[in-house]
Amino acid sequence: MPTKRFIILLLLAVTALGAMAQQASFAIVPPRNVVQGRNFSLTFRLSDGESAAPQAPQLEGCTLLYGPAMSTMQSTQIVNGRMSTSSSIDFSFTYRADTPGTVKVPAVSVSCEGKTLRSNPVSFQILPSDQPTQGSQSQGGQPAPRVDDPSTQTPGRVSANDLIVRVSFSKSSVYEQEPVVATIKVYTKYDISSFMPTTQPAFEGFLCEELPVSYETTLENYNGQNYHTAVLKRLLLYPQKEGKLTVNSGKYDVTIVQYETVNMGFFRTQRPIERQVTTSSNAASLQVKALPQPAPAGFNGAVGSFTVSTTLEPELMRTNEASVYSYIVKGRGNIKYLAEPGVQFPAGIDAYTPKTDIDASITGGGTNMAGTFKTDYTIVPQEVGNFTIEGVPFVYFNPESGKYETVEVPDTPIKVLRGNSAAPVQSQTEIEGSIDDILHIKASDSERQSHAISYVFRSPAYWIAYAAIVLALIAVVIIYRRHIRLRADVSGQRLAKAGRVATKRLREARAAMNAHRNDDFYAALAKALWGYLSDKLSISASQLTRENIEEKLTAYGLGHEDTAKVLDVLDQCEMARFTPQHSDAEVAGLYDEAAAAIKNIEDVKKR
Amino acid sequence: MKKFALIAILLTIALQAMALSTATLADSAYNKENYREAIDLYNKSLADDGLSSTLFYNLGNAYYRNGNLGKAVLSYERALRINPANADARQNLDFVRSQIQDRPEDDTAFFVKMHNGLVASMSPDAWAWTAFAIFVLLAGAAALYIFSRNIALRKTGFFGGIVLLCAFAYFICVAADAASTAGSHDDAVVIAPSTQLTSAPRAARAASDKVVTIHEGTKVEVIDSVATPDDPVSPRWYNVKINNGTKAWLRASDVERI
Repeated sequence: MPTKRFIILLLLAVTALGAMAQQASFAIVPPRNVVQGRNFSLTFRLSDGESAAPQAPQLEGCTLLYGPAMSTMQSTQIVNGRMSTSSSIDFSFTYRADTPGTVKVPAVSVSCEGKTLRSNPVSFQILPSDQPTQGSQSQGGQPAPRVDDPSTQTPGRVSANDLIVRVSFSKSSVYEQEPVVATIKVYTKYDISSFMPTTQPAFEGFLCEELPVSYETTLENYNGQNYHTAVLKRLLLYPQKEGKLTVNSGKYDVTIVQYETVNMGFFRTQRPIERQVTTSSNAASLQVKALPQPAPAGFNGAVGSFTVSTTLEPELMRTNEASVYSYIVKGRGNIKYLAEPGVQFPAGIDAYTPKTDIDASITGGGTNMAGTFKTDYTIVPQEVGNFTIEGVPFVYFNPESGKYETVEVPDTPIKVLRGNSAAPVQSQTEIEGSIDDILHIKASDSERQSHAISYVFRSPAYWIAYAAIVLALIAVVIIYRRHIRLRADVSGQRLAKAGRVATKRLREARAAMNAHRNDDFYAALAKALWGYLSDKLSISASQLTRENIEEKLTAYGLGHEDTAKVLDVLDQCEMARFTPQHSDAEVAGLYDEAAAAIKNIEDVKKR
Repeated sequence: MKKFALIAILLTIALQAMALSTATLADSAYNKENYREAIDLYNKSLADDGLSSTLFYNLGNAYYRNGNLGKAVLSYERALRINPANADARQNLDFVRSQIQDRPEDDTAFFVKMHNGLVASMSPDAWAWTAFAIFVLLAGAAALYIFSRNIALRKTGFFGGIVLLCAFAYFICVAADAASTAGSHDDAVVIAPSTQLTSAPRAARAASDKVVTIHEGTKVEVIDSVATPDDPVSPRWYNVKINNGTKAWLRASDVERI
């Protein structure tokens, strides 16, 4: 139970606080333009307060008809269990507009809860009444429609003057890149129930920036006629080329409301009738002046008025630690379309691709763009030392003075200390890439120069070398052939010589016999006989044995008896060498036997 | 004594500087990017001290750097004429050819291309000596056949000899080819920025006279040459064949023979 009471108390307190928190305010409801001769009301609103009606303000060119009239409004709402109350009191004064012109409404004050609240002074226009135009008179006596009189907005032909879409520029002549505001505005004498653009006006040769519009209608006097007007579109344009730039007319399908008078016996009322009309906007054009030539060096298309500053963060640089060098352009103009400055960093400082940050907004009542264009260069020093980042001067064109202006940017001295972090380990990269250039020269003295280029192929010596080889081959063949022939004849010669050699040796033996030197006789006889047999039978001295000789002699064709005689002579010679003291007759007999044996062998050949 | 030594050293240096050949000076001018000067010096060296493949190659580089593509092609062709095995010159020639306006048509058959590649792989002298070496081997094989008693060796000598004979016949052709391409003056390179090929040895008078326009650096084969004393521009016209086989005439002054 005590808890419940507490809650109620709390609620009351909150409500009271809420009420107290609301401040009383007093303001004028902004008046709209009026047409001359019409009545209009001026309303002041006091919110969350109570007061007596204020003094009616004196308006120039207007007559106060009635006022103040008071109306009170109160609303209470509960949102999420929270109640809020608001109240307002409207004080209305009714005037008649007498003379056209601008009417200033002075500040009006009321006293509310001991305080004096003042409304802000405002102004509005009293428009002159419609001028009768020639066009409207010719339409079969039908009166021209008037914006504030539905009775004149009877169905019928809609004149071109009754519904206009206009494109207008805020300036008639601008420099390239100088901003200009284009406004598309609709002027109508009828109410509009739908508005559909079928073809939008094309702004060719411009960079466009759409501006916000409040779709509020006002009364405006245009060409002597009063219209309801509304801004359809506002664009901030940056002309991109010189010359006369024309905007194509747009096409619009508009449904307007006309009023038909209906006679209902006692009453005459107006009945709305919708009607579809197609209208097109005017083709507006703008003279764009080229920027004066020649443009100074470093001009990058900036038009407006700018200031430049640079920062380095952090200022104390260390190797392999990143710092950010910012180049900040601040000002009004085509800030969104600036080019980034080409800041060059000294060798030993690696710079990454700069990052651009544009922060721009519409200023000057929607006639220009202001903000900052910030270019951040992330730089990483690689070497210790003192360096200087050269300031890049910023050149822009000032359309107000019609001159180029240069903002000098001071150089930034930097000191790089040794950093703690090591150089980042570079990931291995493929070595690739082909040569897209010529190769470098070679040292000219690497090759001997000669006035006549000679080739071995065409020199006689070369061909003589071939001839020499052929001749050498032929010569070798000839010599070889002869040698073969000689070798084939060697045994024949030996055979031929055998008889003669034997005779010669026998002659030696005979000389020894005649001298009675019997020992010498036997040695000479044996030598003659062995030598003769060796030559005759082509037996080498090492194979000269008794058995071999017997075999060869038989093969040679010597008779058995004769062979035995030859062997007998050989045996006697051998024996006689070891048994000395032979008679001369024995020696002579042996000599004859040996001669006969040789003769027999010779005879075999002859047979 | 010390002074004398110093003077001696200075003298030696001065003499060495004087001994620097025109070609070496041209190299250093090239390295300093004075290409105009390098061109003059290379040409002077070629005229005074004789020709060399390397020198023509360097001259071609200087011309290329100086922007004379036609002259560059001409110089590389000359470098290759002296030594077809100058691989650097071939590479640069291919590179410069890729930069000229007229794309060279390549319609040679595979075997011809292979043969040309083989010819270009060694200097003509090297080919001549290769052919000679094969001939010596051939003589050896013949000797083996004639003198050997062993049947296997004789067979080897006989068939080896036949193979070597074929090889010798081909290599002597290659050597002859290498020596003859090196010696031929039938090719020419366009050095004028562009030249109009006409159907007769005179300036084109009607559109039908015009055959084709070829540009700087394109190689043509000169077939015939005719003196034209009446022509005010060029006293000589060449009948040339361009690489698609078209034969036409052009001013001799617009091309230079390799």
